[in-house]
This record gives sequence, C-alpha cells and structure tokens, in this order.
Amino acid sequence: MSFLNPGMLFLLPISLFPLLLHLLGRRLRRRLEFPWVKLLFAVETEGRKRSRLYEIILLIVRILAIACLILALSRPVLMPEKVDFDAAYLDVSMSMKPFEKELGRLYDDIKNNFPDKEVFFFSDSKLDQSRPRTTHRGTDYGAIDPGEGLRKVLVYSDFQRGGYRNFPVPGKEYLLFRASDRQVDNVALLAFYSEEPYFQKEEPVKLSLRAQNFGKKTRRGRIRILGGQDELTELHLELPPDSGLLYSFTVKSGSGDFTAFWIPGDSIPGDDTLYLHVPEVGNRKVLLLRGGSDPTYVEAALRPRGFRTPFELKVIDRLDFPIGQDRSLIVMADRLSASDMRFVREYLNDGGKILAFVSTPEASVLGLLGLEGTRREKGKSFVGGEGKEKKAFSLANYLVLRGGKTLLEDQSGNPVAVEKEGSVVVGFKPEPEMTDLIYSPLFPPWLHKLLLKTMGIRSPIRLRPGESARVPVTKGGEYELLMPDGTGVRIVPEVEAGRAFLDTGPLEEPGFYRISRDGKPLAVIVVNPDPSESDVTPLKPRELSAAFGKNHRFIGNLIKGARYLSRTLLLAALLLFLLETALLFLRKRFFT
Amino acid sequence: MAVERTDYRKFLDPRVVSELKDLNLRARLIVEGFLIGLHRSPFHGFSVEFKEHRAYNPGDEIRWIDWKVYARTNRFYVRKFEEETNLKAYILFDVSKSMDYPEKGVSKFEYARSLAAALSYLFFFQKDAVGLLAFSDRLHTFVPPSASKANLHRVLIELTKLKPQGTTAPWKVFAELAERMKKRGLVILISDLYMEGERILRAMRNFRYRQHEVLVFQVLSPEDMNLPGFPVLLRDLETREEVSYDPDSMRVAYRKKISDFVDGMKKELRKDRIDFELLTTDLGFERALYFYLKKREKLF
Repeated sequence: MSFLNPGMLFLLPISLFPLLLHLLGRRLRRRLEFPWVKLLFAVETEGRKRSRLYEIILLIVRILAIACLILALSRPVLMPEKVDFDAAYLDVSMSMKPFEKELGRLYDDIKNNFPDKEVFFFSDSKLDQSRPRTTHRGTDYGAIDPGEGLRKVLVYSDFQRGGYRNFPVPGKEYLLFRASDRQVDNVALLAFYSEEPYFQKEEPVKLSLRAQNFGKKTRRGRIRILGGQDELTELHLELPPDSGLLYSFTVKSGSGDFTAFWIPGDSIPGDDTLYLHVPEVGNRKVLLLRGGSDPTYVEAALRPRGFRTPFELKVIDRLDFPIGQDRSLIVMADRLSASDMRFVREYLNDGGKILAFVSTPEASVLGLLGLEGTRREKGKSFVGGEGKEKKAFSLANYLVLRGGKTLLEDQSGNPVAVEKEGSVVVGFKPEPEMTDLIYSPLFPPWLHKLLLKTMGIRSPIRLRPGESARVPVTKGGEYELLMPDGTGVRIVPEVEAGRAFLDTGPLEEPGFYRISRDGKPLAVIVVNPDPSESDVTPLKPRELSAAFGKNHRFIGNLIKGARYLSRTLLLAALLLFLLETALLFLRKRFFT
Repeated sequence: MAVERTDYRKFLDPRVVSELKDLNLRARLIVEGFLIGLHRSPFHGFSVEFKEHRAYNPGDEIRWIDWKVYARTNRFYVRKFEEETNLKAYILFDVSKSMDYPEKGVSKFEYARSLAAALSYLFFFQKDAVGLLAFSDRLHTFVPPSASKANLHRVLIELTKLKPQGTTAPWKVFAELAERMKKRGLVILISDLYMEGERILRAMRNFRYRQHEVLVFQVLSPEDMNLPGFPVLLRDLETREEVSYDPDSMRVAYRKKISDFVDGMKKELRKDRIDFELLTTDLGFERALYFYLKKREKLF
C-alpha cells in the first residue's frame, strides 16, 4: 500500500487521543468521600466487567474512527497485483477491431507495469510494432512463437477462428486473456478490406472527393486537400451509408486510379498516407494531432512500399506547448476536446497552417465552446447563430466566418470543406452510422436500430452471397441498382397481387448495393460473406481449451487496478462515528 | 403588648433546626413543634402522657408549674400527667465517620443528633428516664438514664460535644450495655447502620432476648441513595478505601443493593419484633417522634 498524501500519516498518533483522555481521565478523576463504599465494592465486581468491556469497545471505535479519517486524508492506494508472464502476444487481426480500446489499454498496462516484458503483436504473422493497431489481416495463432526461455506466455485475443500451425508450443504455459466475445457484425468491414491501397513512388496523383451520406443526397465535390504543385490534389471520398466506420477513396494517378479505404481516427496501415503525401512541405515538421496513427506506425506502413517520408512527423500528445512557424498541422480526429480545439485555434491565430483537418462538427462544437475571446466576429455569433444564419458549430464554419472559402456544403448549407490561406478543413456531420458507439457496451444494437428508425434511416437489407432481395416500392419511377463496383443496372418493378416490388436477383459479390429511384437513394443492401466462411466466428471455450491443451488458464485481469481507499475509509469513519453515537445513546439501556 | 406568635412546627424541619446552635433549644423547639402539630393533626388520638392543666394548689411541686400558661394568663397552672411509667430508655447514637455525610446541608450526624436531643427532651417531658450511649468502634459517651432535668442537660451537653469519628463496630459496647441493663427498658438505635448487617441483627436480638424493647432509626441522606452522575473516585469515610465509580455501570446496581439492604434489615428486625424506621435527612422529625410515641403506646 502506498499513500498519495503521506504527510497526513504524521497525524496518525492523534487517533490515540481518546486513549490518552481515557487514561488521564482515570488519573485525574475527582475524589469524593462516601459512606457506602463497601456496598460499591460488591456492585463493582458485578457491573464493572460489562462496563470495562463497553468502555474498551467505545475506545476502540473512537480510535478507529479518527484513524480512518486520517488514513482517508492520506489517500491510501492499494497497488495492483500483477500476473507473472515472460512475453505478451496481442492479437491485432481485423476481428479485434471492436476491441482496439481495450487492446490499447492493455498495451499501456503492460508498458507501464511490466517494462521489461517483451510485447508482440500478431495477426497472421508476428509483428513487432510499437503500438497495437488492428490490421486487415486474419488471425493465425501460429504467429505466437515464443523463443527459448520464455515459458509463460500471455495471449490477448478474441480467439476467433484462425490458423493453428505449430501451436500451442509444448512446454509453454499460456495465460489467455480473452477479449469480449460479444458478437460484432464486422463481416462487411472485413470484406471491404480485401483491397489494399498503395502509393506510387514519387508519382503525382490526383484525388477526387465524392462525399455521400450527407443527409440522403449523394454529393460530389472537388477539393484541393494538401496543396502544392498539383500533386495529390483531388480526393474522391465515398461514405457508404451502412458501413459504419468505413470510407473509401478513389485516387487518380498517372498510373491509373485505385481505391483506398480509410477509417477516421482508427486507420489501417497505409490509409492515412493519403494525407501525408505533402511534397511541398519539404523538411518542415508536421504535427499529427490525435491522428489515431502514430508516426512510427505510419512510417512502418510506408517504408515497405518504398514511400518517401519527406518530413518529420510527430504526434502531439500534450497540447500545452507552442508550435513554431516551422511546423504544420495535420488533424485527424473524430472527437476533439475543448483543450484540443483551443490548441488548434491558437495555432491558427498565430498564423499556423493546417494541412488537413478531418473531424466532425460535433467535435468542433465541443472545441468552439472552449474557445475564448473571438466567438463573435463580423457580427455573427458562433453560439447558436441567429435565425437562418444558424450554423453548425464546426471549425469549418469558423473558418468560413474568418473569410475561408467553402469548398463543399451539406444539404443544410453547412460547410463541409473549407479552405483558407492554405489550410483545409473537412468536417463531417456526424451520422448514427458513422459512430463507433455501436461497439460500446452502453450502446446495444437495439438502441442503435431505434436511433436509426427515429432518424428515418432505413436499416440496410442484409444478405448472404447468392441471395436475392425483394424490395417493396411504389409504382412508377425509374429504379437503379448500384453494384459494389460502381456500375449501375436498371431494374423494373414487378407487380404481384397489386403490390410493386423490386427483385434484385442473386447478388453474388459481397459489398454494398444501392437502390435508387429517380436518382434518390431508396435502400441499401449489404451482402456479407457467410460468417462460417470467414475467420470471425468465435471459438467455443471448449474448442479453445482443446486447442491450447492443459497448459493454459484464462485470466480475468492482467492487473488488478489500483484501489483508492479514501472513500471507503471516509465511509468507515462516518459509520464508526455513527456507531459511537449509537453506543453512547444506548449506554444507559445497556446497563439498566 | 403584642405577643409575637411563633409557629413552632417549622422547627420540625431539619434544615431550620440545624441553623440553631444550642442543642437544648433545638430539642425543645422540635418537641414543642411536634406537640403543637400533634394536637392539630390526626395523630391527636394517640395519648401523650400530659393530660391537662389544673390550678396550682399549695403543696404542688413548683417544677410542674406551666410557666408558659402563667405567661399568657398570669395564673399558676400545673401540668397533670395521665400516668408515670418509670421507663428507662437508652439512646444509642452512632457517631462513626460514615454519619458525617453529606458535607453540605444537613448531615446524617446533625440530623441524628437533633433527633437524639429531641427524643431526650420528649422523654424528659414525659418524665421518663433517658440515657445516652454514643458509639463508633468504641464507647465515646455514656450517660446513664435518669428522668431528672440535670440528666437531660447532661445528655444534651454530651450530644453537643460529640463529633463524628471512627468506624462502626459497636459490638462490644452493645454487649456490655445489654449486660448492664437489668430492668426492662427501651433501646433506641440511631445510626446509618453502615456495618455488617448480620452483626447488627445479632446485637439487636441480644437486647430483645433480654426483654428490652428495641427501636431502630436508620438515618440516611438522599445522597446516600443517589450516587453522583459522573465518574469519580469514591473514598470510604471510615476505612479510606477507594473505588472507581462509573455511574453507568454502578448507579442502578448500587441503588438496588442499598434498597435490598434496607428492606432486608427491616424484614429481619421485624421478625424479632424490633421496630425499624428509615429516616432520611430531608424528612421532618415528627415522623421519628410519632413513631416513638406509637412504640411507647404499645409498651404501656
């Protein structure tokens, strides 16, 4: 046990004050002359024992109460108990995506509490990375190959189905730390991660942005994202309405177009590099603010592809230091705190440039609320706005009011992308589909569905490959089925028993299919592979035990968290004081 | 000339009487207060040996002239008594240290002394012989019984001289007295009875065995019954022993103990036809005197 405020422990002798009073009280007790002392001797032997016991109890209660109070003020902490192990293997395969936070927490725990232990990330191979980020790869437990001398091996995984080559290794002891086995339907995600983005080495590329899912319209826009020398000037951004976290990019380059995928804030290797290819920056330092990818990780992803990293990249962890003019800022965050936003704001006020800012208005609102001094500019209020001028509180809005040029608006007229003095801000209006709340235990699927229903958003029709969908429609109008590869097919509604419906026919390719009527989206069909054919089916514990043999055990906690005892002790002190009062109150009853 | 009338009954209050230093006066006032009260009270039916006044005739003893009546009427009257009894009474007065309690107010000793004086006066008034024996663990004073006025004075003087001292262990003294008392008499014990209960009983039974009438006045103060409400160290007045007193654990038990002691004593004494009366120092003397008269009535 350790104490956060150990100085208070010097006051601990005060708790013996009642004892001192008791002893002094006996010594300094008044003497009275009395005629019937002989009788009292007889009485004393009868009642004294009970009285002494009572006094001792009262004394103990008082001492304990004061001691508890002092101990509470000294803020004791029970240090965590640690599980012994030699090396840790953390599963970073795609199926661990929903558990990234837990993974990160576990990693921090290990780094902070077991600094001398080796940590390996694995998916289908052993990856020796500095931070746990889920990869698009599947799981292969054969990647857990502890070397000689590493006897106790900790494995953190959701234990989905995966490869088991040469695993488990005989003679090793495995501590299995199981990620939550809550069913998460990320099959669709998995299907879309099959295509890996890459970059052409030192080759000028063009990006075009096509932003869907802002309301119910499909929007297209061209935005100059990173500026400079016509390289990487256009971004095509597609936001599938029912993929939740997935964004796709079409990159146009001299060697041809290709598609990349990106999850804001939780990127897979390589995807973030869309924002990092900034030839004009030269040797300037670039700060990546809360980007979800740390520089080592980004570089590790870029280097194998021969990609040149022309600048020094640094992640801002603490926002309490000034940024010099020699630094540029890339902000990738889906949530920014007030202090983050204040930092960004000060940076802009100091003339700094944001090379890219990708966030949601929600985050920006939080930030703006924390801004001071310049909420009113040009007579317009940032707080709520006025009448028709009411705008979302996004950083994009802020830039517009500061004279920024709107590059893209959503259907409500809120700026989505804004450019000002070389800084580009892209702010997404948060949609229920875009939130990762769905992975939160506090946000169960039924609540998610209810939210979608409330907002008038239809849940996608979910199919397996080869299945067909019958979508009820109204008569009239032109219907189009947009295939996953972007090609469109016209469908004519069939009428049966007076009701019109669309029959898609068998949909073989996994992916998103969209049905539109007269160009307006009508329904979305998600075709997911059969889970039994993917590696995302959880193993049953019995199966897992059989796979690991006898030398394993499941552990609930790697580290039992530090327990702060102040509250408990305060409560104990309060209860003891109450007990003392009750004892004093009942004293007379006790003896009569 | 206006005659100042005094209500003598106020002298039955121990607090009033204790203000008077002269024990003689104290005794007289108590008795007079008692007698006045008696005439006016329901106790009137009990006979006092004083019966009536009659006109003085030459040849009557001058000492029986009632000077008070003379003062009021300017005529000589002599007091006429119903009978003369030749009763010999012994007042056994406990002067042990335990009687010197409480320090403030009327102590048991003062109360007992006033009572002894009043009884002596009443004896004299009734022409009975009264003697005094003051004791603690030894004999302090002994005045043989006599009905003379001189004896009364002696008793009162001896009573005045007495001071509380010693422990209560009068067994030898009582035994000697019992040996000495040849004729049947009345023994009045005035004490707080802070002594071994069995031995008191034995001593009193000894008197009874010798055909004496015994009357026991146990004098206690209210403070004897009620212990203080705070923890103190109590020191015995006689033995100087100390006990740590805790009001919570001992008060109630003590009360029960002392109450049992008094009740037990009363019960045991009555078995031997010994009259017992508990007096507390906040009670008037009339109770004791009345009790005595009742007892006397039984005797004759």
